[in-house]
Order: sequence, then structure tokens, then C-alpha cells
Amino acid sequence: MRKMIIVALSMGSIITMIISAYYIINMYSDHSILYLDPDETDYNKYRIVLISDQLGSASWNELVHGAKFIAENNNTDLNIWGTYRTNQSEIIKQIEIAIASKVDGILVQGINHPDFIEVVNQASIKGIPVITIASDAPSSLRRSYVGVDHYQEGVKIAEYIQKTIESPVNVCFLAGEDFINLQEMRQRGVMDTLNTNEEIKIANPNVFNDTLKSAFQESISLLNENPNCKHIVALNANGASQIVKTIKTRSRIENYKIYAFDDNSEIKELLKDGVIQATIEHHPKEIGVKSMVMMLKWLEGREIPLEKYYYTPSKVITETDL
Amino acid sequence: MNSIQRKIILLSLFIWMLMLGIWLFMSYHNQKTIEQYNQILQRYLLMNQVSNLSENLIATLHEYILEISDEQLASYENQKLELQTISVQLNSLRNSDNYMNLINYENMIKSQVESTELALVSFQNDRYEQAASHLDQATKISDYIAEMTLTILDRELKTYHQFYRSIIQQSTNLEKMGFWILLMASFLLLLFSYLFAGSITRPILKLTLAVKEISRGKFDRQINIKSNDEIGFLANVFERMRIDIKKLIGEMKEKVKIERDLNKHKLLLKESELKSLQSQINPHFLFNTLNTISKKAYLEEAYETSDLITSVSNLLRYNLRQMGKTVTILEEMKGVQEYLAIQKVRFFDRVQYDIDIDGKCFSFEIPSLTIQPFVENAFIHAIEPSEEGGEIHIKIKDQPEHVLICIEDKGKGMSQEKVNAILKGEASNHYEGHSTGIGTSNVITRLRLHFGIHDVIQISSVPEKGTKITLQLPKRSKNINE
Repeated sequence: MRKMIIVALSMGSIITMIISAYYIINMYSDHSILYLDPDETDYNKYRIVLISDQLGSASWNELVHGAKFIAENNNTDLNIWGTYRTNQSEIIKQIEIAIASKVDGILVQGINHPDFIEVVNQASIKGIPVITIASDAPSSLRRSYVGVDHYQEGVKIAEYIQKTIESPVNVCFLAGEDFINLQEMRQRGVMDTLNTNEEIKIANPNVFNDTLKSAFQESISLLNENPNCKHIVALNANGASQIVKTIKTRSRIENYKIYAFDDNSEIKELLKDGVIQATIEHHPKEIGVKSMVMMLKWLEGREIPLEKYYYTPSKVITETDL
Repeated sequence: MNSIQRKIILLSLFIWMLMLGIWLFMSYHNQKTIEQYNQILQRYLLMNQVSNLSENLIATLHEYILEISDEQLASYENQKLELQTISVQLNSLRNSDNYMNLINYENMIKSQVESTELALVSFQNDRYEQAASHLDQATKISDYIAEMTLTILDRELKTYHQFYRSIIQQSTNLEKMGFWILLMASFLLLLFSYLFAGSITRPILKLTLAVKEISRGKFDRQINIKSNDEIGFLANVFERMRIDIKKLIGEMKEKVKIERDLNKHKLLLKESELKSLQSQINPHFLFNTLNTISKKAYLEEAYETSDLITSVSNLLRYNLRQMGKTVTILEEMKGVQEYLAIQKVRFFDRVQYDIDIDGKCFSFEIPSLTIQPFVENAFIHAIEPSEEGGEIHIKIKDQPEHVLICIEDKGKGMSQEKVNAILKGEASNHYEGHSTGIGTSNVITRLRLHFGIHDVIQISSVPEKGTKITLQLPKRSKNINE
């Protein structure tokens, strides 16, 4: 009896001891615990903010990737700010925040709008260089523009249209409400090229004269107003995917020839399916790299003033290129 | 030797240490967790404070512009200073994830302060338009600061997500650990208490059993308890006591036996008294008659007869006195002499005797009728059967410790068996013919009882040479008789 009690108690002690030890060891070996000690990282030389309204899109990610690569190799901190959908006032607000934060440089997608121009000018007055990327606001005090020459894009698409048509055609433009400046430049590029051709007639050359609505509404009114126009140039990415959807709801998509300027995954898919005839291939990574390099050149004073424009290469791609 | 106390104190100490250890361990960990929580809270509070201060600064400036009081200005200056101090403190929140945001944050605070300063200066220089625009700017920045605070807090939550999770995990771990450690402590305590209590109570139990055994009167089982505390000591003492009791009981039994013997011999004494009473036919009449006969014989000039009768009378008187009382040797010896005188008349020349008494022994007290039976015995066995008679020597010697009484005859002696029988008191039926009716065995027993020792008599007898009886009586009696 006595022995049994002692054995039972000893067993209990040993088992509980082992379990306790397990917990204690567990506790001390928990390396996932971070301590909230102040980080002693050295400040990097420059703090640069990159503001975009297309966070999360594939081409933008590539751009950011390129910019980050340069930043990391040059002891520069790069902050990515922005919105997920185009929102002009939000972008202006973020530029204001960047100014208040006294960053060393701002990379921003340009919007040709007085408010945007004003805030960019304000930054320049406070000594913060602004470089517009991907799209421009040429009348602002931005230091430089890095991105595709949108006029040339238009020219290239127009040349492709000229090359591929067999009989006289009507060409019409579809524009969306965003980045009108960019779309205008593309349209100008197309028009300037096509005007020399007798066989091609532009159906709606004054697309920007009216106030622009959303791509969906624009596409409906375009189809309603120009029933004979079978060649449609979608001036922005939104427009390209929207026109395809709208056509599909009312007639056979094969009857239409659609041209685009962007190379996001949706458009590439449509290109592959033969719905879209041609688009322009961009190199967003190069935009990111180049813009950062130019910003650093400016900050280090190696190149003053900067070139007003730095164009990255672009080329027409068709179904066969994929 | 206070080892039970020591054991209990040791156990208590052990419990105390164990509990203290567990308590310290748990408190240490709790403290650590609390510190971590505090740290987190501190961060959040600091950021919240920045946001509040920035808002208040604008509000105060507004109030100043509306009221223009020195008090407001001072309060504005105060708040500005506070905001600047706190923006320096923000450095302590820095980590690799948020440091850029923090720099932005600090710069925004600076921008705000600059704007408010500009607004103030413009206002004081009466450039109200400019002041308003600067104030608007400052308000905007203050909004941005509030927003940035949220962003940083959000970032904070993301960065330390793992950390917070691990804190929660750790606190649940701590809880479980506490439970198990408590369980372990309980088991350990039970085990140790059991062992300790056992080491104390087991010897007690054994002792109890031993005591029960003894109380049932079984003294033979040895008490064997190996314990170094008081119980061990008790057991040892008890063991000694057991041995003592066993010995004492043995002695008591012997004593009882002796007492029984005594009673038996008291009965014998009574019997002899009865016998003497039976022969006591009105002693006064007998003495008077004997005295009358003695006087008559004296008047008839038969002097010897007269003396003889007087001797008989004295002897009778002596013999009839109360038995059981002590007498001095002198009194006893007078009786013996009367007896010898009578016997001298009877045996005439056939008997020779001499008495040699150390005068120091006269007052030594002995039971009455102790020497005479031996003398009578000598007559009966040594003188009467022999035609040519014999000799009797009586010697009483004083020794430092003892009084020696020797009665020696030159008779035919006795065999060793008979000597042994006498010493054992078995020859008690041989007292026929004794004048007192008291045999030697009666005397020996009475002597033994009176003096409380066994060795009161030595009998050395050589056949055909004689018998020597030596009574060795101690001067200081142990007196087991009353």
C-alpha cells in the first residue's frame, strides 16, 4: 500500500515535471518573439515617394520593381503610395503629404489638370523635385518626364492600321474620362498619321470636345452614333476592355477591328483571342529604373537641369508576337 | 535531539522554498508580459498624443487669432514646445519597417509648426490674408498627421502582428505552465509529506505495537526501531524498560514464592505453637507444682533434684513463651543451658559439652528457639544412639559483618544427601522427640525469612566423625519479613 502510494506520487511528480519542463523550454525557445527595441538602422541618403493611381496592376508592379532595384542599390528609401483606382484628388492629397513630410523627391503619374499642376509647382517651390512618370503634365514645373512618348504610340498604331487595311475604312476613337492628356496625345499621333491617307476617314475627330463620361457610357454612345465605324481605337485600357464587352452584347465581335495602347493582361488576352488587333508594348520596368536614376542624378547634382523628356521604347504587338 | 521538530521544519522549509520559487517564476513571467503590453500601449499612446497635440496647436492658434490674449499665446508656445519634444520621442518607436513613415511623420510635425509660425508672424504683421492661408495649410497638415497616425498604427499592427500573437500565445502558455507547475508542486509536496510523515509515524506505529504486546504481558519480543529521532530514543528507553520489567517480574515471582514459603512456615509455626499449647496443661499449675516439688526436694535435702526441677521449670517457661518474637542470644543461650543441665543429669558422664560465647554478641537478636533445636538435634542424633556418649561444642563468634554460631558434635555424622535434604527443608518430619516440637527445617526457614538471605546455614558432616552446623547471621538484616 505504502509502496504503491509512493510509486504513484513519484510517477505523478515525474510526469508533471516533464510537462512543466516542456512548457518552460517552449517558452524560452520561442524565437518568434520580436522585441520592441528601437531599430538602429541608419538613415538612407534620400527618401523618395512614388505615387501611383494603379497600385496592384501588373505593369505598375514592374515599374515599382525597377524603381526599387535602383533605390536599394543607391541607399535610397523608396515609399510607394497611391490609390487602387484613378482618383485625382487623392493623388494631389498624397503629393501634399509628401511635401509636408519633406521628402527628397516625388515620382508621380502626371495628370494634366490645374490642381495637379499647382501642387507640383508648390513642391518645386519648396525645393522638392517632381518627375512625372508614365503620363505627363508638361505645363507644370516638373523636373522631367519619364515614360512612353504617347504621340509616338498613336503614330505607331496608325501606321499599323494603314499597313493592315485593304479597303477604305472609317476609324473612330473611344476615350475614357481618365488621363485625358495622355489620350489626347495618342489621338493626335493617330490623326496626324492617318490624315495623310485618303482611304481612311476619322469618324469622331472631336471626341475630347465634350465632357467625357465613363468608358461604359462612351462605348455605348460611340456605337450608337457611328454604326458604320468598324475600326475602333481605344485610347485607354479601360476603354479597350469596355468596348469589347459592349460590342459583344449587341453584335458579332468579329465584325469589328479594335486597337489599343496598353498591355495589361486583359488586353493581352483579348489580343491572343484575336478580338483586339494590335496594341503597344510598354516597358514599365525601364520607366521605373530610368525615373529613379534621373531623380538621383538630380539630387546628387550630377545633371542639372534634367532633360525635359525621357522616352522609353514602345512597339506595336499583334497576336503573332505573343 | 529535537529531530522531529527538525524534520517538520525541514518539510515546511521545503514547501516554502518550492512555493516561493514557483511564485517568483510566475511573477517574473507575468511581469515580463505586462512590460511588453506596457511597451505596446506606450507606443500607441505616444502616437495618439502627437495627433492630439497637433490638433490642439491649431485650435489654440485659432483662438489666439480670434481673441488675441497673451494667455493663449503662452499656451500656444507651450503646446508647440510639447509637440516638438514629443516628435523627438518618436525616435524610440523606430524600426526597420516604419522608420520612413516616422521620418515623414516628424517632418510633417515640423511642417505644421512652420506653417503655424508663419501664420502667427503674418497675423502679427497684420497680413491677414497670408495668415489665413498659412493656417489653412497648417490645418491640412494636421489632418495629414492624424491620417498618418492611423497609417503608422496600422503599420504597427501589421509589423508586430507576429509579436502580438506570440504574446497571446505566451500568456496561454504561461497559464498552462502555471497549471502544470502547480500540479507538479502538489505531487512533490504530497510525496515529500508522505515520506516525512511516514518517517515520523512509522516508528510510532511500531512502538505502539510493541507497547501493545507488552501490555498483553509478553515481554519477550525485542523492540527494534532504527530511527534517529525522539521516537528512536523512546524505543530504546522502552526496550530497556522492557528488559527491566522482565527482570523485575522474575524477581517478583521469586518473591512471591518466598512469601508462599513464609506463609507455609508461619503455618508450621502456628502448628508448633498449637502443639506446645496442647501440651500446656495450665502452665501456672505446672510451674507452681514444679516449684513446690523443687522446694520439697530442697527441704528433703535432695538438692540436685531440686535444681533439676528448677531447670525443667525454666526450660518449660522459655519454650512456652510466644514464638515468633525475637530474643537476644543471651536469653536463647540461657534456655540452651537449662536444656543442657537437664540433659547432663540424664546422660551424666556420657555427655561433654562446652559453650564459648563472645560477649559482644549477647545482645544480638535472633528468632527464639533457633539454637536449641540444633543442640537437641545433636543430642538426639549424636549422643543418644551412642553408648559411650559424645561431645557438644557451642561457639558464638563476633565477626565484622556476621555473628557466627557453631554447634558441633562428635557423633556418627550424616550422609551428604541428608545434609542436602535438611538444607532444602525436606526433613521436616523428623522433629519427633524434640522438646519444643520444632524441627531444624522449621528453624532454617525462619532464619532465612528473618534475615532475608538464603545462606544462613552451613552443614559440614563427616560420617563417623561428627557434624558441624554453622549459622552465619548478618548483622544488618535485609528483613523481608515484616
